[in-house]
Amino acid sequence: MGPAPSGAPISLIKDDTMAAFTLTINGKRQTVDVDPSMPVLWLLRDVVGLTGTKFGCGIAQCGACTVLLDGTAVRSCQTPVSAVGAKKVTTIEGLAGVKPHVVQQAWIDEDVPQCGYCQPGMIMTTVALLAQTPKPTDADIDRTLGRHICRCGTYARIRKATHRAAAGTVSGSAHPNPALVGVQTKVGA
Amino acid sequence: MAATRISRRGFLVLTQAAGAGLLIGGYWPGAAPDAAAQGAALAPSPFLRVDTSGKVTVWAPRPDMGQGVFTSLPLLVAEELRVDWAAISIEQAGPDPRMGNQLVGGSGSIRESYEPLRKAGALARMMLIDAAAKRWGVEPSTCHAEQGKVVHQASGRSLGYGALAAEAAAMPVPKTPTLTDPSKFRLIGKSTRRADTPAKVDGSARFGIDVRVPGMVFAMIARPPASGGDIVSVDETAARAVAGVKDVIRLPRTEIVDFIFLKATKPGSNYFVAPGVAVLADSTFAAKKGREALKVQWKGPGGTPLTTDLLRAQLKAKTAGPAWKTLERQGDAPKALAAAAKTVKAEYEAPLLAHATMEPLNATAHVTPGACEIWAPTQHPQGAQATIAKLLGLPTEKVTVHVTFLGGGFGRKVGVDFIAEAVLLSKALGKPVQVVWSREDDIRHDMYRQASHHAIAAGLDAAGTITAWHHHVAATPVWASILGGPDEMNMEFAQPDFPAFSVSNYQADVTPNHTPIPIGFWRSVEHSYNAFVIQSFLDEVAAAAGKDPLAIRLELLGDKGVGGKGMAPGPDYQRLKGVLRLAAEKAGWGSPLPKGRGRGIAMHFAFASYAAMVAEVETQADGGIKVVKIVAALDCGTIVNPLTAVAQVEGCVVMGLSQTLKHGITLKDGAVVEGNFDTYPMLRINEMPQVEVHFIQSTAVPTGIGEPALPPVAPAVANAIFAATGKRLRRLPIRPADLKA
Repeated sequence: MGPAPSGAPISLIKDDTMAAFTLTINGKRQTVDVDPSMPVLWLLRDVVGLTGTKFGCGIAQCGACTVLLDGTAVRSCQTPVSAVGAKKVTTIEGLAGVKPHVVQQAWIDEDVPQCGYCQPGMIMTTVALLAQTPKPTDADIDRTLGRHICRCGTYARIRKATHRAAAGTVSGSAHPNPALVGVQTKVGA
Repeated sequence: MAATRISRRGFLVLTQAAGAGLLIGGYWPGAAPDAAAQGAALAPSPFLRVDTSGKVTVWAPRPDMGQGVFTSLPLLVAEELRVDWAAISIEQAGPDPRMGNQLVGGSGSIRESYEPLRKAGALARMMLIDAAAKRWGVEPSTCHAEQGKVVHQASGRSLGYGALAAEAAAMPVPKTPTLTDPSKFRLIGKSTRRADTPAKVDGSARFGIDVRVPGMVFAMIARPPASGGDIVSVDETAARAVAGVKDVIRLPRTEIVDFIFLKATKPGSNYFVAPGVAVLADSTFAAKKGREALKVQWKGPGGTPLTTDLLRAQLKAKTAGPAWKTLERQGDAPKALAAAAKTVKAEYEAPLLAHATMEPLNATAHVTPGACEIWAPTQHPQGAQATIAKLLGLPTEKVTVHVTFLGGGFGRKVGVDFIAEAVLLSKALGKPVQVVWSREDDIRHDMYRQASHHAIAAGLDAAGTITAWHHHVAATPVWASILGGPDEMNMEFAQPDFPAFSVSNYQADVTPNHTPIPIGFWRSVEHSYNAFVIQSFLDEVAAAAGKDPLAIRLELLGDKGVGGKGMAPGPDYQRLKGVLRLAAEKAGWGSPLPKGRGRGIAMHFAFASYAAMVAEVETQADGGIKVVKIVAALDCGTIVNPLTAVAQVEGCVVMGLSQTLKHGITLKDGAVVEGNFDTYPMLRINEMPQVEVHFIQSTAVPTGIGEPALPPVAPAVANAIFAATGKRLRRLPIRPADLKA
């Protein structure tokens, strides 16, 4: 019992569709050799090793794959590597400096994430929104974050956290409880 | 998943699997500590360790799928251990029978682990105190523990846990742990932010799909479109020519043990690894591209291909005929109906539903000679380990399962089929393999919430009192779909719901319907459709009796005490009344509403908790409706973490609204039609109503909170729509076309 391996030999044909691209990702220049049609989502996750940007649908319906290109929020599942050019790519991993980004801190303060899978995308869109509209209305939030899906249903806290980030009234701490240091989230190997 | 739905036999099987002599979910006190295993550290149970450096590690014994147990379960240990919550390290545990039940589902984590985890913390605390007292030559009763140190009140001497750990490890484990009085809780009952949030907002939290193992190959599998179908022929040429593709491997249909009893499934089971063609590549993208280039001929399972209309007709016919089984009978409902002054009759329907977790199914496996290592977003670590051990013919301890964060579970990730796929491919290839499901795979090859048809009738006397209630449900039993075999052991419809013990002639009938469509546990299981039917129909009866919907419920609850029977405690009708009153009060039930608005009320008892909801809807210019507000009242006993409890209710409301207004699975040619969020839409932030959550302040034992708030959403909204429009909708989802008809 077990899977029957197919009889055909593994193809040794070198694919002429690969090409070299030099991209700036989170401030770092990287050169990659990939199929130009590869979506940035898979470049990040499978080639560069940045798995913070998530795969949720592949058809730009859910927003989990959102990254910034020169500060503009885009769906990386629908953005081929060939379209990036000189634009600066920012992912969730590139937001924080020495301290969390104010949006990340607001998310912590409001205890937003449940499973957390959709949140990197939500955060990137919120960062872009606040850069363009520093004091967003609920209608602005509807229009932008309404293009995202959260199956756990954290919408009420997302809205609250967005307003909090806009107001700048976040705690100064990098941790969920200001005194909560040293909590590791090591999972598995 | 409904842990309380498991029969007594099933429950015992689970506990015995955890290890003879162990308390469920806990550590048996009084046993001699395993000094060699502990080393110099204090680790009298698998849940915690105090190192001589003072570092305190607490294990999260169950997987976190968003319900917050990575935080709330260690919090129980930390409360009793009396450590500085800010100073502990939390690690995710893998399968460990010493930890008892590690399955997440059935809204059971807190209520099963509340005492055992507190006891584990308390035992360690007592050993530390004993060690300090011994060193100081004083009575342990003159010392206390706080914030990671033991203090001798009289002299003011103190010692940190690190300094005491080695000596404490050598102390006898106390037979009876002393638990903290709830009035002195420092952590339990206080809002504690989740410990995994920093990682979840900076991208470092690792979900199953994020696992990267050296030498790993990505795989995507082409599966038969029609459930129960198979491969006829495959042309792999184009697929193999795609850059990055490493191999194409055919997977035959593979039987695996069920994840409830860990036994071979019987004929009729829809739970197995489907046959498929796997494309393995150096990136998910290449695997996907390679799969798109496959040319596969499929065949169906035989027989008439299932369609939505055919399924609906099957279920409707089953409720029209005699019932397969009567689950609950009081008096003689058919006779009382025939004699009633007035009868109300209706038929209700609910469709198949997909789980659609934001993280699609995936698993990573590395099979080596004599061993297997797995990384997976599993809701059932021990079930995964045991299933794969049996599949490979390995001793259980040779299968290592790394439990990652889950990007949603809702009952789907308790199955092990998606893990078995990765294991089989790794075994064939001799390398680590990660199988990734596309969104289309995930929606089209789910273990669905079953569709149902309901025939329901009530009889009223001349005074408008309900004298008879007869509810007949036809649906696929979850267990029959998983276990196969005869139905007798597998019917798991709810123990009698309200108003079973409020009406003198009551009958609840069930009739199974079997199809090739795999059915599984979906958040709140059968409550997700039964509550819609019962609480909507109750409003129909109220209208026929000329009674206010709140009034009729209060009247039926009356002064009754605890009803129900079976394994789980029955509903305490006074607690049901409590949430009903709270929701009604906070929603302003009975107060005037602007034109075009209506309120609906619903209540339900499930997973040992009580939920009531008032929905307020507003008619729109285009004839549709908008849900403006939901007021929820919950009684789940003692609340460990209010922040998380509120989040669970909010999450249930969103999922409940999605199933009420947004989506359903349809079938064509035996295959699921919907594939992605364009055809299976979800509620979004702009459609979110205002939600208020109120809890009954209670010192009763903690009961479930992951699922109980979902069942009342659909009927509260349906009842509100009736109040606003006069239209009674009896079929989910409620679509704009239904409202304009």
